Amino acid sequence: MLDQESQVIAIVLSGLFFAGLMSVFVVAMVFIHRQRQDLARQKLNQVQAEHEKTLLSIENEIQQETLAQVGRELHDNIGQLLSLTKLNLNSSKPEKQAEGRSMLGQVIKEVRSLSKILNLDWVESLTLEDFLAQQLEKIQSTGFCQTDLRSDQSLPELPKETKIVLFRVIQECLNNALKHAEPKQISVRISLPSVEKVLLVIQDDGLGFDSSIPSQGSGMTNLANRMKTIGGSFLLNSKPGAGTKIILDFPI
Amino acid sequence: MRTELLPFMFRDWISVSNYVFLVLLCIVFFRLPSALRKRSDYLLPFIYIFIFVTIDPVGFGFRLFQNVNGPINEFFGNHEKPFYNAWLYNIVLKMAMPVVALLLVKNYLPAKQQVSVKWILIAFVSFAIVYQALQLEPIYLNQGILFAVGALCMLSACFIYYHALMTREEYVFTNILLLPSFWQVTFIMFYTSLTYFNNISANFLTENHSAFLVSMYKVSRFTGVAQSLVYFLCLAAPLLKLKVENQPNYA
Repeated sequence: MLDQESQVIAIVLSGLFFAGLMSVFVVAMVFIHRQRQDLARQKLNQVQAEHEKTLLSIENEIQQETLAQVGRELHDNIGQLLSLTKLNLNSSKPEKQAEGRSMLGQVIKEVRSLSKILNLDWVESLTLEDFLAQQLEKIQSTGFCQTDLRSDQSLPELPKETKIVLFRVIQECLNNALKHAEPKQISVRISLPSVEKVLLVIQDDGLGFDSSIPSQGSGMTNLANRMKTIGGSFLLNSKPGAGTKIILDFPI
Repeated sequence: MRTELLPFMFRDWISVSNYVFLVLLCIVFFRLPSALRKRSDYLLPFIYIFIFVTIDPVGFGFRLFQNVNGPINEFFGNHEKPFYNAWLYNIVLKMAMPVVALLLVKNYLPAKQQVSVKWILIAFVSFAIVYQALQLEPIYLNQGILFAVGALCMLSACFIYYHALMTREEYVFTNILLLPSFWQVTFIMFYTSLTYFNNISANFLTENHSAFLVSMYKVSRFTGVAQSLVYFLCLAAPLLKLKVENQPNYA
């Protein structure tokens, strides 16, 4: 009888011990996992904050540039047009007055187009292809070099944030090419290697440089970091005398 | 047929639970959509638990039908005690079961860790073949060494799984309490470690603390029932509409 009783006690005790061991193991696993989840969430929030900071700084840069452009337009274009209009309207000759009135219409048109670039809403209405076409046309119109834009397929609509970052990175790449490379030709090619990815290649036939030597400035790192914020990447290949090739890839 | 053994067919509630689970598991598995049945995260757990719940009834069947069991024992060289059915447990529980368990755990791992488990599997199978070929322990008796090696291989695979669970990005936002693979591997680990402990300490405990050995054996059988229940719930989750997490996809 006593033996049977001690047997039951032994079973209960060892059962409880094992159940406790199992519970401790599961609770420990869940606890460690929760801690890992918290850390991952913190990291995610940090990345998100950095992403927002980068976006904000890019928007700020674009606004600064827009204001400078508005200032230049007001001084060089609209100001001149208004002065001429004033002269023409003050004239007693009817043909001059008519010319003044037509100039006034042109001023109104210029002010309207200027007002459109004062906020970032234009980014939403502009596609990546349109933006590239505008930028390359602007470069070609200055007579610095020839440009060429090729696109395999039309891109789907990109989110505004992605476009803001891309526009800024592309502008920076084109500015760098014009400033440092003295190219005769700049070509841009857009392709879709997969349904989730866009590849944008900006190539010039300018002076080039040894891209294997780490650069002193932070320009390239900034561009790479900006591409990272939209889940993309930035790759630069250049050799002295062989031009520069920049590959941007980003998800859609 | 040894009809005098028939009353022992349902000797306790744990034996009865084996028959109940056997029927329930078959019903559930064959009622699953065929696409799910073909998936390794349903098929392998089913094979594992099917072997687990079938082994005792089949072992009992061989005791019952001595006319089949006897010649098999003779074939393996057991002329003294031809009613033993240890050969079945050695082949199924100590050789086939670790292989299925290793394949099951391997199935839940990313490619890199799968290679480690694959090597464990190759090592175990090679060891088992050499072990049986050299007849280090007779196949008709309890093969403790083979069981210990199999258990260590299974436990190593379980720890590789836990390492992946705690380090892989794919698991970060998964609720592990709702992850079937977590419970399946955890019960493989609990059951294996408990039976491993019983096995290696059996000789010592029989002589010194036989009551403790019996109680550990009962706890281990109870853990086996809990394991069957967990596997049953994992397999029946789509039919019972239980909320479970999907196994992460290692792209």
